[in-house]
Amino acid sequence: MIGAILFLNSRGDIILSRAFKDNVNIRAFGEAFRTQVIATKLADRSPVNTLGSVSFLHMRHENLYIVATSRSNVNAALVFTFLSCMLKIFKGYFGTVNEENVKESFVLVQELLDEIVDFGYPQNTEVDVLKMYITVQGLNMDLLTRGKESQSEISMKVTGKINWRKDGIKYRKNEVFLDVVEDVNLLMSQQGTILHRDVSGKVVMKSFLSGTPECKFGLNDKGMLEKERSSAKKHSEIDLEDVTFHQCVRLGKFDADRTISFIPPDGEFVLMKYRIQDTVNPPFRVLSPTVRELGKTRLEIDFKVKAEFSSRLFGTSVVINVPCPKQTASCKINVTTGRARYEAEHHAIVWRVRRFPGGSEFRFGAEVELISSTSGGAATHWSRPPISFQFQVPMLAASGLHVRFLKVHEPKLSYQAVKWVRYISKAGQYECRI
Amino acid sequence: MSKFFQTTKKGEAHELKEELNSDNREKQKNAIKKVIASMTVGRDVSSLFSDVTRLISTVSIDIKKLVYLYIMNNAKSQPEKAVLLAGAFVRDSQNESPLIRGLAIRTMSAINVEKMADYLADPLRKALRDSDPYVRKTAAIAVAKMFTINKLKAEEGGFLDMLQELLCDSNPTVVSNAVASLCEIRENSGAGGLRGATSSNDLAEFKPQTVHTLLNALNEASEWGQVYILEGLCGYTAKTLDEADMIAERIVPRLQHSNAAVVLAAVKILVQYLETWGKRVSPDIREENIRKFCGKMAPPLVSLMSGSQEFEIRYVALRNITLIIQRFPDLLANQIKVFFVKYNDPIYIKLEKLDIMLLLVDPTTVDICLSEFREYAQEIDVEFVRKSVRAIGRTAIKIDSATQKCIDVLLKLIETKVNYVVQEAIIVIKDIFRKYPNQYESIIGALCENLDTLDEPDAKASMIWIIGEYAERIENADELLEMFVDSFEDETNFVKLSILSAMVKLFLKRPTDTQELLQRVLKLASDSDIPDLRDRGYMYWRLLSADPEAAKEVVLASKDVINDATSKYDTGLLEELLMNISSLSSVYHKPPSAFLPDYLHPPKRVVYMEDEDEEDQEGGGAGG
Repeated sequence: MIGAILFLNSRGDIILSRAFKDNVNIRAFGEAFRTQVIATKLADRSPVNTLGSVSFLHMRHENLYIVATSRSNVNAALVFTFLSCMLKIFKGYFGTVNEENVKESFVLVQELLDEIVDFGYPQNTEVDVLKMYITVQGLNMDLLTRGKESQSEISMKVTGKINWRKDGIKYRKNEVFLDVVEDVNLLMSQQGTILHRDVSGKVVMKSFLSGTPECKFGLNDKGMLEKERSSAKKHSEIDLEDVTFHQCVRLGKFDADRTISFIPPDGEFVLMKYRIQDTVNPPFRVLSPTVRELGKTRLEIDFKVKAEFSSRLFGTSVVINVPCPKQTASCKINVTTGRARYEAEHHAIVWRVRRFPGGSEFRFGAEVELISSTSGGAATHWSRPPISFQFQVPMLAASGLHVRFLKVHEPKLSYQAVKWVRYISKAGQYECRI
Repeated sequence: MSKFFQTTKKGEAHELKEELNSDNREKQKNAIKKVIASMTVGRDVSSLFSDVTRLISTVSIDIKKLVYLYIMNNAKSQPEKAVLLAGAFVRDSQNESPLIRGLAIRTMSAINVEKMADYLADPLRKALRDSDPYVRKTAAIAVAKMFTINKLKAEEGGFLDMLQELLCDSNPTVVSNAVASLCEIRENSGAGGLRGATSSNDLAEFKPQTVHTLLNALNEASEWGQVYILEGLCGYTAKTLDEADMIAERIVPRLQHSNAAVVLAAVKILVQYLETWGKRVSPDIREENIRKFCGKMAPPLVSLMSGSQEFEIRYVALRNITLIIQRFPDLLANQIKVFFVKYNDPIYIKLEKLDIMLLLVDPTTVDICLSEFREYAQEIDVEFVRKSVRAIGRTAIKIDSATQKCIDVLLKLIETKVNYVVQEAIIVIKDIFRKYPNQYESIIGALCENLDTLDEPDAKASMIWIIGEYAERIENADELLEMFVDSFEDETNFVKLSILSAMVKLFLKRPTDTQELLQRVLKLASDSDIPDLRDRGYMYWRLLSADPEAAKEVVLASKDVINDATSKYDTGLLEELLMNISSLSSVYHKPPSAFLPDYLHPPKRVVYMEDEDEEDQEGGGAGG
């Protein structure tokens, strides 16, 4: 499995490392990665590189390279999934994982690594359980002096069936918050035809429930509705292309009759992730985009953006990125709402609209002056990157997904839980070609 | 705490020594943190071994953990001293706290000093039967470490059998770590196999009850534990078709797990099932099975490479998809749009998506794909652009009905005059000509216009080949070739050879006015000090002077039509790669032995089965 994990800064200096196996030479590995992967730009061309008999699997995060090494035919999916999971754990302990913070918390990082990986094999990575015995200050001393019982409770949690939930949780008010968060991906051609659209969504649950609550969760999914024939068709149906669940959900049960049943962890977790294609309505559309080349040093870009959702809703923090050629000298921009300006570092005009009401339509026009270049035909060599979007639309599920019910049943305490549901759609990779 | 990372000045080691040896607890703690900080950035701190390890008997657990960490990393350089510490570990392995017991076993087994095995054996044996699951799960992994410390001792100590017992443990994490440990030991055991490995503790020979326990533990194990169990099951050979069916059915729900590694491990088992047992059934049932399981695998595979995952995970998924659809081409039929390239995808994702699009493109999707490829051919990254142009050429070769459209797109791209686009386009057009001779030569004129911009050997050679092949239709073929002949000495060998062949073809087609030029080329070739070129020059020369008619038959003979080469790998390699789904091998598309110099082939039962299977079919009796 994993031989060592290294944290390197952007220059390629090791800032922290941990060897899990004996046949590693941290110094040599760091040097090899710096000179043969970072310096050669191989790092950008592939996340997996083998030098001699050592393979390096790396991720970029903030200003860091997170590198796992191996000398075997290691499970690459497991390594990357683990690295990403490890970063989430560190984030849960000390916030942003960057050079400063990793150095600052190196004892804690070592402490955590000792617990979450053994001999290169990932072990328990549930933050909540880890926090029971490893605190930000390091190992929880009280606990070790507190005696046998509380310790064996921890070892049950670390290794047990329901390792995601502590016992004896109590809340005065039992509440559940469900957030349906959808990343909308879109690829639209110049002609306005949708080449590809889908939603990568997740249902984030924040549970503040006492005891060991049994939960059952229902959506307007076609497959689920078919199973319960009796249900009246109140909402339109959606067709889940694919769905994955948090480990608390009983997969066998879902496979058998499409019911989502589980005992939730305490606090926030991702209950399920899903992908939907057919029923997706892209919230924003680019209408009639035109790029005219007026001579060799002038361009005219023109288009409209329409918000294609109910007028009761509105988009917030809408940022529309309109790429310009590298040799742009100046831009004359004309927009009917929001603010737009040329940002040289992005080679793009960035148009920001704080509040974009549903159903409305706004125009963008820009005249771009280019620096005349000797090679000529500046504009023709421009690759015309697509217009890309960032946005949030609260209370909209672009896929049409709808939460039908969440039943909470605690056999011993039998309380009524208060349930809240929110929806939000955000831009994923949202691109319109021009 | 960044102060711990300040560079070591001269005399600092001495200072650290002093602090470590002081009586002040805070000073000690700070000093050891400094040592660990140095170690962690790769500096050699082994000279402080005695000073650090002196603190091992400290009561303070946080210092103890740092000392342990130090020992794990530095024991190798001080083996004799390290062995002296065994007593402290053994003591800790009897501590009343399970966390400390686990820690002691975990650390002690990580000290790779052969002698340590003598001291480790007893505590480890005890730990494997500890009442606390945390200790047992740690001990399970420690057995694998024991095997790297002293294989002989580990084999003789009966640890394999003890691991086997843990497979039936009541705790899912203990079970999954035991499986991981067995797999690790097996992977490193090499061709000689394991002594002490009896059929009862060999992975491939799990008892049916064990398999049941594993499948049950699957539902309860942590996400990583599930991966280990699934990997373990991959090494298991089902005894009957019914059992294989049952395992496959029980694995299917794992496809819905949110952990990418769990999903791919499940895909691996299902693909292996289809590759082995799936072939033992009648064609009808096989079809049915493939349809059923592919239907289950396709959506999660697509999810793995789409929006919500890290790009690195998407990349691993894409590389595996490329493999799987070569074996099961219908898996992602109608899904081609999912693979359209986004402008902001990292380059390695773009290149891989392009490969998959090329595998999936068919007559119904060719139009939209061509317009995508054309779009990509105008991006910035040179490698991606060239690959996009190549994709257009490959599409032309793959789908007959779309060839004209492909050529139109290529001509449009040539018009852009972007140097590397033009060159790549000419290379692929040569291939199109080879697949469809005498159909599209009307575009030769357009190609010839770009002759002087070519500066890459491949592009030049392709153009020269086209001129020679279609010399009778290119009026000024002799002039064009003469241009290349003029610069003959500056060309690469490959181009020189092309010039020679093209010149001979031209002469055979137009003997009247090209003899002089031919003489020049033959002279250049036969005077050359490159053996290949010289020999070929002489060969042509003799052939032409001996019997021009025979020369015609040889040189202008009709060539084999090239085939669509979109299925990339031969069956043997593809089979091996499919057995390695999710691993580095599947990312590189190379068998493990190709990039791991010391790779030891694990005994592969699954592959044997396939041979048996063929015999079975020959004998007319399908299994089950």
